[in-house]
Amino acid sequence: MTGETATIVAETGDFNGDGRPDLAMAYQQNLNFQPVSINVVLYLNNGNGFTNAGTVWKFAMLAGSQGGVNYHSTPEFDLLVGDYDADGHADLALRYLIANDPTTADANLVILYGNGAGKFTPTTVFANRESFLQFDSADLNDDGRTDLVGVDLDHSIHIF
Amino acid sequence: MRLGAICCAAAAQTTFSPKYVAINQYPQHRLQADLNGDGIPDVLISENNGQLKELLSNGNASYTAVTPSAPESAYTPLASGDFNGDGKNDVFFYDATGGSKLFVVGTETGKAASVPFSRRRIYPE
Repeated sequence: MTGETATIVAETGDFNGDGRPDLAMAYQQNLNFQPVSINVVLYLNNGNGFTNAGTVWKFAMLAGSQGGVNYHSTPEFDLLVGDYDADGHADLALRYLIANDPTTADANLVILYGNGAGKFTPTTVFANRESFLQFDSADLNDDGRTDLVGVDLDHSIHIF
Repeated sequence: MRLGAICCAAAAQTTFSPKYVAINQYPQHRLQADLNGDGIPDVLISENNGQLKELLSNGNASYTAVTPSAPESAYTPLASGDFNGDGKNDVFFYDATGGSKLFVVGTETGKAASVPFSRRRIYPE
């Protein structure tokens, strides 16, 4: 991770199946104070420290756009760990806001399905949704698959 | 599972008695982790002046606030876990200042490839 970064979030999970908790981090990459991309970077726990396993997902932001901001005027995204496909491997869920004009911020939700060996396959759940405020995940119906829960702008609760 | 309460929506109504804990400044990051090894989740908060504050749970919905000493105050707590496998909880910090004393991530120099655990193991002491 080099250069300017804005808000950063991290979650732990065993992403390569060696029994050690690893770290996944999501952050906004800036250049000259302008947003460039949203990145998810994997740090693998080698038992004696963390090894940078590189960027596992990247979203290139349009010139002139900016990350959605919360009331602290900082880019907003959430990163969650769960087993969303019940294959026994840790997956990642990322919610991020993108503002293409000053008045609205659209929510995006992507699942990065882990293969248990440090690789991920991204699947977009939705993009450019008007709003998707709070976000969390749990296995709500006890089927072994982690479910996603979000609250929309109209206060309705959505379960995925 | 952070939304554990959802599973019980059909059960008898649960009431919560909120307890308020006074902290200084404005909390920016908060992390739930067992900071003192008593098996009870505590809360670690970074305030907008860079100061860290520990809220150590007494297990009865009351907390003892502790302000760590200065060297930790520039770091943002991002994640917790037993990273070095010694059975004790660790806290992963992000260093936004480039000062690189604990865990160096996201600095201008990008020296984040590998950092020994011992350098950033500051909780619990």
